[in-house]
Amino acid sequence: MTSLAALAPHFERLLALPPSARAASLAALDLDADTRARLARMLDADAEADDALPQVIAGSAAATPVPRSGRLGPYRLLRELGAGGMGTVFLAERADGQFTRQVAIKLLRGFPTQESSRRLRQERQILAGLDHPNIAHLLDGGETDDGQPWLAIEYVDGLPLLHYVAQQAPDLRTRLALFDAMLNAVAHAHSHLIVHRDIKPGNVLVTRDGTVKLLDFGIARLIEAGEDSARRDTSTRVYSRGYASPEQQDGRAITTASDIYSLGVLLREVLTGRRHARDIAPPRVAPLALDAELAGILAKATATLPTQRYSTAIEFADDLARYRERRPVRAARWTRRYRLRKFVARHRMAFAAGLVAAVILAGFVWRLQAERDRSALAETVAERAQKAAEHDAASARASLDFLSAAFSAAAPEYTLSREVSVRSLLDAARAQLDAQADPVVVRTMQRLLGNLYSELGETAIALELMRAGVAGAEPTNSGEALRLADDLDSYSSLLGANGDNKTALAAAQTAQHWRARFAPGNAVEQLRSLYVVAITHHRSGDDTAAIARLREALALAEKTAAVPEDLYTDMTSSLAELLATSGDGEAALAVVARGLRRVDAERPAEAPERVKLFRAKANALRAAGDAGAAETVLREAIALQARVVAPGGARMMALNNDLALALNDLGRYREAAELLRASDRQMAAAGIVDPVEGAISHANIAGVLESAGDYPAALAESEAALRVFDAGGIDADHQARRRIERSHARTLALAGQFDRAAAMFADLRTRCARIEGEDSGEYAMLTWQLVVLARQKHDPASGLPLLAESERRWRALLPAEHPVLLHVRRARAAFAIDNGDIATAARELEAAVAGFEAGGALPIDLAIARSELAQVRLHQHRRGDARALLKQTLPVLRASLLPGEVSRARAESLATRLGETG
Amino acid sequence: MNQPLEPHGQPAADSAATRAADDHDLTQLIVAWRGGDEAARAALVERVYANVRAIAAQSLRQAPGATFSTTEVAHEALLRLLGADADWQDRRHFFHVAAQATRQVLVDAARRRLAGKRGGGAEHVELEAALGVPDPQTDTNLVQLDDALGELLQFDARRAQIVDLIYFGGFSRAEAAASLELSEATIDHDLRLARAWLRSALAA
Repeated sequence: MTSLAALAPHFERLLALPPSARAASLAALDLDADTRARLARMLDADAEADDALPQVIAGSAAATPVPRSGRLGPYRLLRELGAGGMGTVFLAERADGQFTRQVAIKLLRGFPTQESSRRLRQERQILAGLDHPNIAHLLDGGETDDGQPWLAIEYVDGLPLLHYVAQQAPDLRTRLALFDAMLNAVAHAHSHLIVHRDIKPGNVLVTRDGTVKLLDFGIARLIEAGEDSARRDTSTRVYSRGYASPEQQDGRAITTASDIYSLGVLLREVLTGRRHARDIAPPRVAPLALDAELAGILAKATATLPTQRYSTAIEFADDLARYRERRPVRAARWTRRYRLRKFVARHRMAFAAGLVAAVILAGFVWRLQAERDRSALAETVAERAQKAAEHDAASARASLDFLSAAFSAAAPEYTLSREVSVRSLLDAARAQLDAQADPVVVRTMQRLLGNLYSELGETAIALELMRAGVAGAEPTNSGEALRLADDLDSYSSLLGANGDNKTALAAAQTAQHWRARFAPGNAVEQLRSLYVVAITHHRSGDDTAAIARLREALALAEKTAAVPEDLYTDMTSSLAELLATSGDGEAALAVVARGLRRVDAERPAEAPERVKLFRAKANALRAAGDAGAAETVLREAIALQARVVAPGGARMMALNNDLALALNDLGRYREAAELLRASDRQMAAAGIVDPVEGAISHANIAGVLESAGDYPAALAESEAALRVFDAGGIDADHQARRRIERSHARTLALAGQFDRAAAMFADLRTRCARIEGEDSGEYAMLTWQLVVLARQKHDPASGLPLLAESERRWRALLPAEHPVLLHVRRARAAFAIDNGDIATAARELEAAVAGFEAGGALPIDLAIARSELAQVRLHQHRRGDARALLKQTLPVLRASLLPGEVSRARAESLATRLGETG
Repeated sequence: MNQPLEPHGQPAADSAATRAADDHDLTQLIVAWRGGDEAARAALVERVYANVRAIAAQSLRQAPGATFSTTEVAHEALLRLLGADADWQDRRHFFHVAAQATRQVLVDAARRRLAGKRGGGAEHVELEAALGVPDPQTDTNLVQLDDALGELLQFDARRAQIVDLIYFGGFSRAEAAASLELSEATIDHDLRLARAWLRSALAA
């Protein structure tokens, strides 16, 4: 036969011809008749639309699987369904015509002795007693002529659990619902004293209508019953490695707790695609990130010691139910906490960012600008953490899916389309509210919808609904009152985010009032209110009141039993953050230490709550200027998180970001950039794919690289960020995009590309005027950036009018003693020097130094202003004064700044000159 | 019962008791095979044979139009057999072995059936009727296909491997491309040629 190698060139040449020309070309080829015929057949085969090969293979495969024909008892075997360690499974149907029902026949392996056959029959009787909708029912059983045991089991036409989850259960809620059904089934079996012994994904099928069916209950035990007792312990222990409990793997006693363990492993796999932290197999389901609570549940279920696990499947299910029901509240609290963090981050920057002297960049750079950008960095980090947390929790989706399912049931016209948007359902529901007469129902629904719209990010609609929903609401019992209080908390949070702090505080206090009136003895409810009120105070700028409320709350918590750990740790870490922000790092650290002692006393050694407190401690340390200690604490937190919770996930991402900021503080920019990149990878692994997130990641890395003075690399990263926006079709006016453009322009200026930078700033400022208005902080910031640029270009002619405008705008936005206004003075001094107006420069710098001295400013700010004044004194030929100023200032500069940093370099050269001449 | 049931002395996929030992051996065999040891390949095929039999039944019965998920089931079962620790190279080779083993299983069965038809074995009649088993021509075609593939392997191993992976391994074009480190375009091109050639062999 002619080989393909010889035919291939002809085949390809002929294929390239139009079909009509092929016959003639084929005839013209110098080939023997057989080869020519083969070539013609190949061309024909290629032209045929359907592929005969799979049909041939499938036909044979269809005939292959049934190795034997025949019957077992009243059943006729139809085909083999599969073969496994326990034997072979066949699809069968009743052959006696009584039923047409199909069953699965399981032919158990091994040939039992008479004694074991008797035990096996007994066990079968027990198993047949299991009657639960989520357990595949054992229908019948017997032995073949030669004594091999078989079982007839309800045939379940479904997908294995993980396949179902991968295809049909994308979100946390549906996965947990599936798992809940499994736990119910296991609880039923355990109440009949039947242990499954081999719980694994393959033993759980989900039918087309979503019903969970556990297979093979107790079959493992049956097989052991069927074995010779002598071999029982060694040869036939049936279990699946990866899911089996430690006691099972070691051949020790198996109890219901062994099933709990396997369920825990299975739940982890259902949620994250991994059986355990070191599982490196590719996940078979889209991984969801675990939050601390879920991780805690998993840790308890899979404790090494059986006595430390959930004692029953019911207890396990209860914990998950509480987790699910508490979700919206939790999610709301997360959001509130995030907002606190975000605000603290911004707030802290205004006063404390100057700690990070190393951020000051080479070139003629103004400190404030670096501070602002660090604040932007911290803010974007916080935003990313929140995005991740929302993703992590999947809570909004869970509630919305639930609601959409409820709506679908009520409104059949919607059920045809799974794609119907939650938004359109909500809109429909909102429209229906008008038809509802009972004001109590209307208000309740308004609040429910308000919460949901808020989760969709529709703040205006949410606020309107919440306002209407809480207006005039008068609860009549404690259940109603507590629900109303929760809604008022959410409303307060929404108002606060919207800047209406006065109404926010009123709402939080109303919630506090209802809780006090209807649940006076419920300290935990009082704590929730104190926490919300504290945060509202904080948001409206009254940190003193916020700190007082949190201290009050923690004092109450000390006297209260069963304070939820997450509430306690949230309160502790918030108080620590506020204290750190207010400059009282010692007090912040004391609060964290107390929190850690409590967790030590009440929680196991590896409690996930520790991670939160470690974070707060690290933040306090950073705020206190001890970035080195912060690094140590964060590394400990990261190790703990990896051990106890998961190596990836939202919180790990946040920890890595914190560590990156600490390393940035320490001047270890490259490590910081690498961490941010690692954090990106985690985000990608967690399935968080969002153009805005991706762009912010690039921008964060750009920020760190800029700090390191690597401007080309920083520019490449911020350009990549902008490309991500373009590719993602993100609106050009998206806030994050504009912020990144601003950073990009600033880096351009640092790299000496003044014209491009100026054009970008001017464009940004025009857009800002249109979007936020000329009175906005962003507009003031952009004006300030133009001032900085003029300063870098030594261009007082254009710089001074901009500086005047900038100062006017800052004054309208900030208190008179704000340090920004002292930096304005420094700028005016610099322009004065450019103009040769030494007297003005001296006056402005004297005022700036005095202001920094009076306002408890950061030592580095004061030192830089003094060094600039020293320069002016030299111009004024006041060498003694210049030398005195430098003497005060150099140690601070040397301790805080890198040698190449412009302020330090200038001060050093001044010192050299003074040393030489004086 | 018309005939005695086979004893299940060789438990397959899920028997952890045997798997614990087997995983190690499999990896060793794969390493040996990659080192050029053809005996190791034979041993591998033998080892996966029992498992592949079940997989062939599950995943290929539904072809044509086999859903992706059934193929996934097969891959997953194989991966379980191989163990989670195997690296990508091991997996790649293992899938190749599995695809070949699947083919071997099907062809062996087809040959047995053809022999049975000729020898007048009657046990299968009832079951075949129930299943709507295809006519003997299908089995003949499969044997022809196997012969043609064997021939292809002699002078064009790459294209034979592509056919094995896609038709018997249940690989998608993209997966086959990744596995063989070829471009998808090359896979398409090779497959078109090999398919025409194989089909022309059947049509002879």
